[in-house]
Amino acid sequence: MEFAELVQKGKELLSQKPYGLLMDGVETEFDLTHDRRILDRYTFRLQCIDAVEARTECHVLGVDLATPVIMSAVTSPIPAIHENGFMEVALGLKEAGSLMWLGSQTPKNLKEIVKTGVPVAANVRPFADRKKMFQSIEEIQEGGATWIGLQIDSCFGTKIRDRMVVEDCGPLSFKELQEIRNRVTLPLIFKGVLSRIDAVKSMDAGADGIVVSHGAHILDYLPHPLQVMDEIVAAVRGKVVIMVDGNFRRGSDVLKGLAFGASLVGLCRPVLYGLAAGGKDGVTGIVNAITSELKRTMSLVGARDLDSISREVLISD
Amino acid sequence: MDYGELIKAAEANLTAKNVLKSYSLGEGSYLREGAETNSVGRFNLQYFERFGFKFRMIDSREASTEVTLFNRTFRTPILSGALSGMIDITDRPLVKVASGVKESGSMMWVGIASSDQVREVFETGVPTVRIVKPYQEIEMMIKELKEAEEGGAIAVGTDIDFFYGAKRGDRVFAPKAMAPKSVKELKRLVAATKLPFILKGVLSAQDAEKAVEVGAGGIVVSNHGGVVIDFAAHPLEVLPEIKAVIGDRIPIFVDSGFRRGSDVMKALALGADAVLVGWLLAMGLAADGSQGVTEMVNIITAELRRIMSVTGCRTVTQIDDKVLVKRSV
Repeated sequence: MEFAELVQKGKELLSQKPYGLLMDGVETEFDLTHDRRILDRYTFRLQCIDAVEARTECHVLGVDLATPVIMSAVTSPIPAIHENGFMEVALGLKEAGSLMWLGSQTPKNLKEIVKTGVPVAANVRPFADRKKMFQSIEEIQEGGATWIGLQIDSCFGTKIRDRMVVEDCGPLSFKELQEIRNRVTLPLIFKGVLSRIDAVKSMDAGADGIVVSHGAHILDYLPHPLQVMDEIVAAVRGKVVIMVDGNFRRGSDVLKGLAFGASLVGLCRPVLYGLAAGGKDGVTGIVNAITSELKRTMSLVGARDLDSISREVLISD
Repeated sequence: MDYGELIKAAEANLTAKNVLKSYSLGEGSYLREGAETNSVGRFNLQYFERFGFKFRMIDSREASTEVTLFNRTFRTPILSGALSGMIDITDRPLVKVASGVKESGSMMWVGIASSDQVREVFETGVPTVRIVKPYQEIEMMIKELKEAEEGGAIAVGTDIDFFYGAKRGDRVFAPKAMAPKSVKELKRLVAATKLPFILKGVLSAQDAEKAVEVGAGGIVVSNHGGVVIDFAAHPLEVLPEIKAVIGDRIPIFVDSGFRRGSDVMKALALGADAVLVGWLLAMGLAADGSQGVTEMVNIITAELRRIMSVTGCRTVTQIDDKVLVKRSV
């Protein structure tokens, strides 16, 4: 299936069943239109002369990937979309040379997922009951995950439209972050950084990486991550690995994230569309299609590999 | 006919031939189908709306739209786009457009066309620029350039942005094997012809610098109607940085979505020497053959002249960005 068919079919299938209100936003659902408006602000400077076919391989925190297009953290809708969903996603991403990122409800078959050979990042929620939080960390480490993600932004729970859906969390202090850092032996990524201050605190607490992200259901009227990337990149580039997510959909969107200074860009819905439309092959198809869009665009803006993408390729309004 | 009547007549004839979808600008039309999400289709036309004009009425007088390009004088800076196809509008479309363009004192540009079609265009006597594709085989390009030179072209060139073909939606169309061109290869092409060699598809200061380095005789700032990549910049977004690099050394042409004299004026104000129009000529051709083409060029030229006159620009070279105000839309 072509990209458009996969997306179309996936969208149709996902709109037929209730998937835990996944597609809804917070309160006024401002982000559903705002994110696209921000991503659409940027256009590309072509550099055709001396162009070469671009390469998209990268090496990030000990992991070799064929593409900077990775899965954004998500768990709950996957088993509802496909009965063997986690394995299908894992195999599909493995085939595409990408990375699987699980949300904070760690699947019971984590070990089996890891066995497919796909690099796996798994999120931990800042449970108000800290014992539970450390237990979750232990489970993920024992399960053989590659990275641990800490959802620093869900400290006051998550909200879909007017309903709180997660309420068992509490904010983490800097001291607690350091404590977590000491307990985690894997690369540790703080997810949900959306300001320079949190980026600097993440770095100082010893995070290996951050995901600049507005989460899915944290707060109404959050900026799109690209709006805060410059201040974050200026503060921590080269000291922690910077990743980004937030309603990225296509190769052109991914290039914008990379041009702002991200090493990897997370996509959620396209992966779910691929899963719904065609199981593991659908997931591979989606990631490969987006990667080939990225490759074509990189080739035409004069970026031969991920390291040679600069902010210069973008023109902002 | 006035502008609206010409467009209406064109649409009626295109409807009768059942090809309106290929030329209209409505939702789902071929021309609106750029790469992937078609951001260029969505934004190309809007971009012009960001600029308004300041009046300079006092001491104004009727402006002249004459321009000098490649040591020749033209009555208007509104030139033909590098045209191909249009066989679904009429038979021998290129030669009909060429005759119409000649009558209006403008310049013809030809893109993908057979040797016979190109020869027919030359035979009309209209000053013609021939653009060849960036084939993988440089020899193939040189052969077409030589043919054009012998046929009487006033300039030749290539579209450097077309090496991956055109992408419409999720599909890529590449008629023949093409490849990106290096500075070295471009220098060889420049040396292969006595004529000015034009690089079409420059959309950054970096490529503009390289154009000067290879000895190009002109550039066309273009996003190729959105079929190169999704979110390609609008030509007017990068024109100022390109003008800063090029200065007055070689002519700067612009295309991509120009519809009215006001659009043309904005490009001239931001540093262009002339503007290429494709869709407008296709509509003129569809409305009334060669005569429709002449009428269309004359109408847009008259629109431009009126704007120049009220903004205090007596000649095309006097137009600069002081006539513009930029708004956030």
